[in-house]
Amino acid sequence: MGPYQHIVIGGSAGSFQSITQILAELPKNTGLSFSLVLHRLKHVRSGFVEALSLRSTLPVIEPEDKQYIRPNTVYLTPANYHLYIELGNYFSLSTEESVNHSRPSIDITFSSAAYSYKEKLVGILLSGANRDGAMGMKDIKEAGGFTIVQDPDECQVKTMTSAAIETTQIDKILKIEEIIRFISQMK
Amino acid sequence: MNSIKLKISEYKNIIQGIFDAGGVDFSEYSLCSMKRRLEQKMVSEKFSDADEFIANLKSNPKYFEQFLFDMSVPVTDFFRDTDTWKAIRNQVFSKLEKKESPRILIPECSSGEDLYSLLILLKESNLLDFVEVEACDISKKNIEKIQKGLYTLKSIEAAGRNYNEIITTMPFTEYFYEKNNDLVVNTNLIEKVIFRVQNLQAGVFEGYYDYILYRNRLIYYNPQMQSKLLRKIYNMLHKSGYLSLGVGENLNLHSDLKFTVVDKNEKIFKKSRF
Repeated sequence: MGPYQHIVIGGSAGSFQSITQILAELPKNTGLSFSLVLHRLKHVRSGFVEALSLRSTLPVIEPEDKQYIRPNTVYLTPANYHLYIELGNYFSLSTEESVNHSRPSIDITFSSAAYSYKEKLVGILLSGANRDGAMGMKDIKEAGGFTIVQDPDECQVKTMTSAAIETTQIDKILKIEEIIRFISQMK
Repeated sequence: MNSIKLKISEYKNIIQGIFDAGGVDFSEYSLCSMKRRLEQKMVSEKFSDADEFIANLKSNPKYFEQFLFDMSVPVTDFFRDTDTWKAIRNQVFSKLEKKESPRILIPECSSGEDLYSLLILLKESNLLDFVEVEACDISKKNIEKIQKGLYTLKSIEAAGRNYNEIITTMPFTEYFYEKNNDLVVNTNLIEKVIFRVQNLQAGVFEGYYDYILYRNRLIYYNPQMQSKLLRKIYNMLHKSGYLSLGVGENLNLHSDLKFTVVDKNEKIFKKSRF
């Protein structure tokens, strides 16, 4: 397994608490970088990154366009933008139309990350109420990356995780505690 | 759902095909979003491969015009990022009103929401009759659409909410109304606007501008092209002219250009002489 370079985490309805739990136990100094794609209110720009930073072991940043991706850092997709991960280890923002009724869309970030990081990527999909992320997880898997979905039985809303499981042969279906353990063992 | 994943060689062939077909250079766009949009277009229009797609671009000028329109990413909302518009009014307009006959440029107006937002804000600040506003876009269809003032009714909710947060002098209905399932914008606003079909990259701009509104357009270019475009903008600005970028954009990578920061969060910059 590995060595991995980047982890993308997608979540929507019912995922906020799980995200804060994960952030509170991220291992430091692994050299990994993280991107969070969370469905959020389009017209509320501030407050979210601060809320996620409270318990995070690593700095949480909303990247600007073309910002270089640094290790040991968590990047939160800014409100009302899509976030692409480009070849060359940097971000591009976009105001393209919503995908799966969502901007940011999990599919867009996951698919571009799959293209840019190939087998050096882990994709994690959490609780959510629509099908966003299913195509992205498929692309990660097909590009040789590792895919993890939160156990639908544990999700507040299981539409999103179930859609990904239907679409792709997911590598691991785990509870949040197990996802945390999985990440903490990564080097 | 059917999907196409373009290889990098196919992607490059298409970019060359676009240039051959209409002299428009797409080679320095952000790769991932451009690649995705091309792939989606090919799927939705049922092209079997890149060669067939390229052949169609080259042989069909009407299709090419439609293609340019489809490739230009629409601006999302009227008064997107309300705090930015408040800052523009407070920080930029207050300086413009002291100028003789200020010139404002929107180099890539796309679907026109920023243009109309700007014009409404100018009108409500009693500045519309004193400024010259110029709006450009590479797609002729975009400009024709702006001139009709028709927008999807879906956008009315965000438009109304944003408008009411910024404009208190006149009700929303002064400029917007609903008709035949469209959101219609009052086209009196654009009466004096100078429209030109060109992009920033290849376009010719004469004289100097006091304010350039260029929000959420740089994001579609790679860092090299961003540098070129920003240098061009810098040279097009009057000394101490103003520049607005999108809230997710910045000048960090281009520190050789002398701009001072007027509003860090709302991305308003001022050309500085030193």
